[in-house]
Amino acid sequence: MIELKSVTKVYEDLTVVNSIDLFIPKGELLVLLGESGCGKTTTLKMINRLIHPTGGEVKIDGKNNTDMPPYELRREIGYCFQKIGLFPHMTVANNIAITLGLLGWEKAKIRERVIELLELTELDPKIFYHRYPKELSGGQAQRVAVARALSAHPKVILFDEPFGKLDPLNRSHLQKEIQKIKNRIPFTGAFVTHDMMEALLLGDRIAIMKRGSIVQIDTPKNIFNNPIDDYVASLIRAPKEQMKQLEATLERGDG
Amino acid sequence: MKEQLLILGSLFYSHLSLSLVALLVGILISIPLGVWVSHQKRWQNLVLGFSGVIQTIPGLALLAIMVPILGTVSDWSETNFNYKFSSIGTLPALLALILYSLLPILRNTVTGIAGIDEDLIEAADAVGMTPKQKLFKVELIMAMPVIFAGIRTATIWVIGLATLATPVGAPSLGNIIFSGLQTKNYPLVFAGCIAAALLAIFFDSLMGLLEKAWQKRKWNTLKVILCFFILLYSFIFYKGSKDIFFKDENKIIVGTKAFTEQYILGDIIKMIVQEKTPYKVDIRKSLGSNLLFDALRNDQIDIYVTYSGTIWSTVMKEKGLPPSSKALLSKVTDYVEKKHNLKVAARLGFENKYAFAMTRKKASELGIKTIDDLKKFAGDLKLGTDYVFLDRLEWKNIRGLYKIDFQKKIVMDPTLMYESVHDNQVDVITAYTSDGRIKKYDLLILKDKKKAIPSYHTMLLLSQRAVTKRPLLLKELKKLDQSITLEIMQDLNFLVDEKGKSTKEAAKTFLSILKKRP
Repeated sequence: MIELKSVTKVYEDLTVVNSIDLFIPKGELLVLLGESGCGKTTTLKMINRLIHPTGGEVKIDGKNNTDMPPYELRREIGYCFQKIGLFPHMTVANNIAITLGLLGWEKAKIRERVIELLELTELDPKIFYHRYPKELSGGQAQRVAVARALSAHPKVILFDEPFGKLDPLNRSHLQKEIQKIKNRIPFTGAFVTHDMMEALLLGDRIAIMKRGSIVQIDTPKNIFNNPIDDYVASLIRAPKEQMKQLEATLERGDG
Repeated sequence: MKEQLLILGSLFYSHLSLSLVALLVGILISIPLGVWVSHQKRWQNLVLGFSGVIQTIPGLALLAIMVPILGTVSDWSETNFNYKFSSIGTLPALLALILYSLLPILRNTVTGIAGIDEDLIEAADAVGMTPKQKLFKVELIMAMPVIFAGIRTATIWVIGLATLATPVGAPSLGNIIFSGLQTKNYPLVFAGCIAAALLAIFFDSLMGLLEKAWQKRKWNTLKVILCFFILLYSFIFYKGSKDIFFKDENKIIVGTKAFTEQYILGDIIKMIVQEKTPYKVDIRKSLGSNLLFDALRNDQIDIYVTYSGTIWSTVMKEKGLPPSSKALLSKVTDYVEKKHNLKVAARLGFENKYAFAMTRKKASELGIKTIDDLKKFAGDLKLGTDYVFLDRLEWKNIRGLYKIDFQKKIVMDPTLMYESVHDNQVDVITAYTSDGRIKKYDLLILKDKKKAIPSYHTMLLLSQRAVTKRPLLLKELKKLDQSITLEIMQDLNFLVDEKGKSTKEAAKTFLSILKKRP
């Protein structure tokens, strides 16, 4: 459960996020959608305190996120971002296990969990366990990053345009996998993207942002059918056309 | 030969241990400091600027300046805490080398950390690392190749600079380079340079190997190299602590200045002491001339040979015209013995002072015998002189008394003066009266009738500790009183400077002369 109450972020005289209220119930994945610069990433990063709000408060499972040191908070929150951020000096297994190590898990338990996560993200543990990040393709690296975000059974998972830099083929693969994972182990989370198609596929609900405020927040179906204004309507028009392309891409990808 | 190798070996070890300890301390200071300023941006420029300024100080000056600084600190600590420490020797050398090693490591630590991909820092935060975990698990490891490059640069700098530790009294390969240059023993100079270079190359390559092993994750190679360093450092510290805590109280330390005559006299003293007394002797060669008196006063050395005029002008800081030779000698003796409780064990019997000298041929052509005669021609003549003469009292007095100046004054290394006057590259030189080359090149010493130049009687000084605790020293060294004539000293210097003999051989020659005397 994530709760944002009139959360604001101001840089000097530029208001990036303007008094946002959000409620993400347990088990829901909310997509934050909007053009670049609309404040969606800033909103996301204020949840795990990578960015400190100028005003308002953020609660996770009812507890204020400033009640504990930031590093303790972040160990309970999975984070997966576009830049991937795998540590080049650590093996795949060690990258996935970082948070577990920080939490003081036993070695055997960590190993078991890493193998489980590799299988969940469809990476063969026999091949990938001991590899280093530079020996991975972009898609494989992002899978490892997803596994790392999931590793410590986080209360909440945050995605910051995680698939933005992947080729369409890999992107749709990973989108499907996120869906699969979500069906198996429902998690609470927020997912930032500027891709309406991705939002429609993954979101339980979608919040559309513009210039630091939320314009419309609803289920994909409702947004798709009843855009609240011209801006939202224009965002939806694009994926309608992309839909056809996407289907074609998926077919090729499955073949 | 065997003995020479032994000396080379011991200097090699001193050089090695001095450099490595300085490097270790440098690393231990500059990496944490670098990390700190990486996170405290407003201190960054200040700290980097300061270490940059240190780097611009010439190495020799940095080392030399440590001595008076430490002396002041030592005096202060003595008055406040009743604790005194040595301002010459290993400590100033170590401090200077540490300061010198800071910049490359510090700068590379800052650069290395600043160069880390921001995404990795964000990832480190996001997975829940504390600032400390982030530092050790990510920042330092990612910056390591750059930091390593800095350490390698510092290694080469420090090992190179350690050759300049000799004048402040820390033995290093510089000892043989300095004395080799003075006595024109070029193979010795080469041996010193090559040994220092090999040392630098060896440790640079070893660090390179260490870095490679780390990057390629060859843990066994890494362990072997680390073990080597740990053993080496353990040995250095073990030996060092033994030397500090179990000082060999029987050891007598003889200091010498950096020229041939001083090396020979040092060897003569060493041989006599070792033959006639149970004490062992260490010679600290090529010490800075200004250091020696303070070192003797503070019991950091036990014996050295100096000259009455030197004490009069540089220690007593007397100005103006010098008193007569006798008066000056007794004034200096009083000063040394009554004011500082040191002992003039012997007056060796010759003087080594400055004198204008020219070839006999040219002097007779022009009809010059005295400085007065020289005055007429000086406006057309060139003077060859050493590094310090023109700033000294001698020159001031000569100019004042004789109203003389030269067409041109050329400053050169003192070892080159005699040849250049002989080859007519200069017309007059400021010779040292006990130098053997005056005889070799048949130079005429011009008379100083107005007594502008103070006398420089050779005096053998003993420290207070040496006098009270080592009575045998005074008893034996007293016998050197009036034992060396100017001619003998010139001959001994000549043996070394021109005949390629070692200073030891010259010392032995003298001792055999001494034994033949009744």
